[in-house]
Amino acid sequence: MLKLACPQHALLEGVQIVSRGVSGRSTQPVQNNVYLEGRGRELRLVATDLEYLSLEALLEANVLEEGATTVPARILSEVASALPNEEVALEADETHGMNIRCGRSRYEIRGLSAADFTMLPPLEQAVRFEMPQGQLETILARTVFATSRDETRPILTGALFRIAEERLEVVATDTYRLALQTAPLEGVGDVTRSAIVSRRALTELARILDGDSPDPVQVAIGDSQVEFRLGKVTLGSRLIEGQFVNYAKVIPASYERRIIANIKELSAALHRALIVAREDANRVVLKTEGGTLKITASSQDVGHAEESIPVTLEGDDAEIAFNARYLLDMLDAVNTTEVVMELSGPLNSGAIKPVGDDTYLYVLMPMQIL
Amino acid sequence: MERLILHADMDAFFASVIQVLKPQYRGQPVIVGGPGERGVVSAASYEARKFGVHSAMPLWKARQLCPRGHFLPVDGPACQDFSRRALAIYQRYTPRLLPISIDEVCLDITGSQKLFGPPLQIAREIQKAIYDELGLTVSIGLGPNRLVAKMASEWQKPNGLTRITADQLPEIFAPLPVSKLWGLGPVTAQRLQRLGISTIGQLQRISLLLLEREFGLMGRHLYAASRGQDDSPVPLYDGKREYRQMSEERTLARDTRDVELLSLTLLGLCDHLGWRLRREGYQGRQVTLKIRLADFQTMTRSVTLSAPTDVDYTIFQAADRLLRSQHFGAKRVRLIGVAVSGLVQDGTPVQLSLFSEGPGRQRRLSRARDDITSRFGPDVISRASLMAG
Repeated sequence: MLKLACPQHALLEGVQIVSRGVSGRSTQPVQNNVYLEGRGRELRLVATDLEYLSLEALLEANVLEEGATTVPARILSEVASALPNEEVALEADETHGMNIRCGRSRYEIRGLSAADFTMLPPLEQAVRFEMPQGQLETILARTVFATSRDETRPILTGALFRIAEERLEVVATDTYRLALQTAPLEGVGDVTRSAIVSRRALTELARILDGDSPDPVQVAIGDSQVEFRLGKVTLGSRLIEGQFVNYAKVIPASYERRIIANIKELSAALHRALIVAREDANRVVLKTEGGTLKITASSQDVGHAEESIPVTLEGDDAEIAFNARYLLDMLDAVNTTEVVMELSGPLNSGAIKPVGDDTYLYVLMPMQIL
Repeated sequence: MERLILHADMDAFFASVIQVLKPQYRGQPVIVGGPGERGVVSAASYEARKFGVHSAMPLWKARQLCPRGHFLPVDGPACQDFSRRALAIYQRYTPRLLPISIDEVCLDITGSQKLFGPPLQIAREIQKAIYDELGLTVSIGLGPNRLVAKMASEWQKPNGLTRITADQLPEIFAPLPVSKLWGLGPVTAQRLQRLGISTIGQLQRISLLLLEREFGLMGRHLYAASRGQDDSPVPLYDGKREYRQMSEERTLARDTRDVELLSLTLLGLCDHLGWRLRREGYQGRQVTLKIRLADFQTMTRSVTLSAPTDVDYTIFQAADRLLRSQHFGAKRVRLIGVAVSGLVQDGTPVQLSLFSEGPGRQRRLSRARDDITSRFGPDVISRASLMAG
């Protein structure tokens, strides 16, 4: 049976990463556990909700006897974090209990048989590529917020990863706005592949990505699963089944006027206007008067707000109402100095882009008075 | 200080409005309702009631009882207008006023007596103003709370005026059948009947503990209501008729397991619900399906839409999806209903969707139909699937 030793801090780090994979709502008790397996010179930790999240971590260990067991994620995580930073000895017996010894502490945790633990099946035919962790971090920061929270349309609760013509496109929409980020992909060849990855998996991925890491993230997209490998940690997820919405048709093909604004100024003005606008469904009215953009909000109960910032206007004056939060979501996600809003009529969607970065597009529908 | 609540209930409202607007129907039996033969009577004029016709009766039955009656559709816009004008009259007497429905309103006149005199005088003045200005009669009940005032308003009709004071309460309430209690449906009445309780007096003798055990939260209401107790306030009126939800339901002619029949019934309910939402200027995001099985087991299922709607077909699609995801096993359905909640008033800013062109078209279609219905009556236009085959 399993018998090994490893440093407390390594165990803690591994357990904390993988235990987020447990859903806590599984009807099979064993799936609320962390799977521990000692093999060769490594301890392998796995936890999964068998649906949208599977997390696996490998850590160096002195394996004395190879074997596996499972113990409740929460208990293991609490014990591991409370132990002193010394060598921890783990030992499982036939009754599926696990002994943890470290310094003067000794715990025996009740577990369940590793044989009953189910993992996501291995990836079949996958398209594989890699990219710097920082780049994927940026892609997620610019798109995942636009995924839908409406569980009645599951396909929109994830982001579309589409590979075509040696490019990766990541698209998310909650039907009110759409965020689209592209990145060149080298070395994938002439393949086309679409996959909808759940928000739960992507939020977790964003948490473990390290923009400063020199190691790239390796991505593998299969027919029904996706896998992101970052060094010793692997995040897997089942894909959301179904056809993504036809997003190409909602990207405006043309515009009648362009407003170029400084992001910091626009963002600060919107934040202030929100104090009033949040009482009116976050509605702000954007109105240009030549080189000035007026942002107004009113609420019967609270009062009125008016902000103005200098902008560059191309075309006729514009007037349109937006949800200020939706605008701010986008402004917070980009890091350029300026943003350009391409608008048509007051009931037509607007295309909003960071100036000087044509890899990102945000399409936002206005608000209307019923 | 003891409160003084006035409950005003217009007499045969839908029928009376027609008699006011169209003099040829005055003194005639007028039966308002529909649509179609499967519809029910919304109101019957007092001339028609002599034949035994009453509201909520199926139209075909009303035709049997009163073959020479004038059967007319509800004139929605006109009734709305009369309702609004009546509200303006009530508002002269108190700011604390709660519209209960299009033809019923509840007024707190506790503080009005200094200005307008004793309660009976206020009530008579209101009746006179409603008659002089609108040509309608209204039955009024006065009581120490909303429950008693409502029950008093039903005491004498039409053009009745009844006051029940706190000390008269036990005597007046005790011999009444429990079904007369406000807020008590036929199902609860039947359950009480099975327990051997048929009058309010008998109900008064049951302990709170027993009622709570038998009826849960409803038991507490029964205990208080049987004693004529009700402390629900009448809020200040802000000029709007506030709805938190709107619903429609129908007890089927006979219990059924036929999903297609249920779906068709649902379509009719959604049509009417959509019409009411548009008439009152509301849209809602949450659609709830209600099903009552033959054994009175009731279940509700809800879904939240991506945007508020007042479109019949959008409501129907959501409700129908809920209906078709239900498994009734061998049980039959007795009643089906649909509600829209999470209501926002027209004029509330709404986030538009990138992907929907459909609802816009459906909305125009619904509005066009409202227009036709309001001018020519509901029998002129209907969904093909709802037309009698």
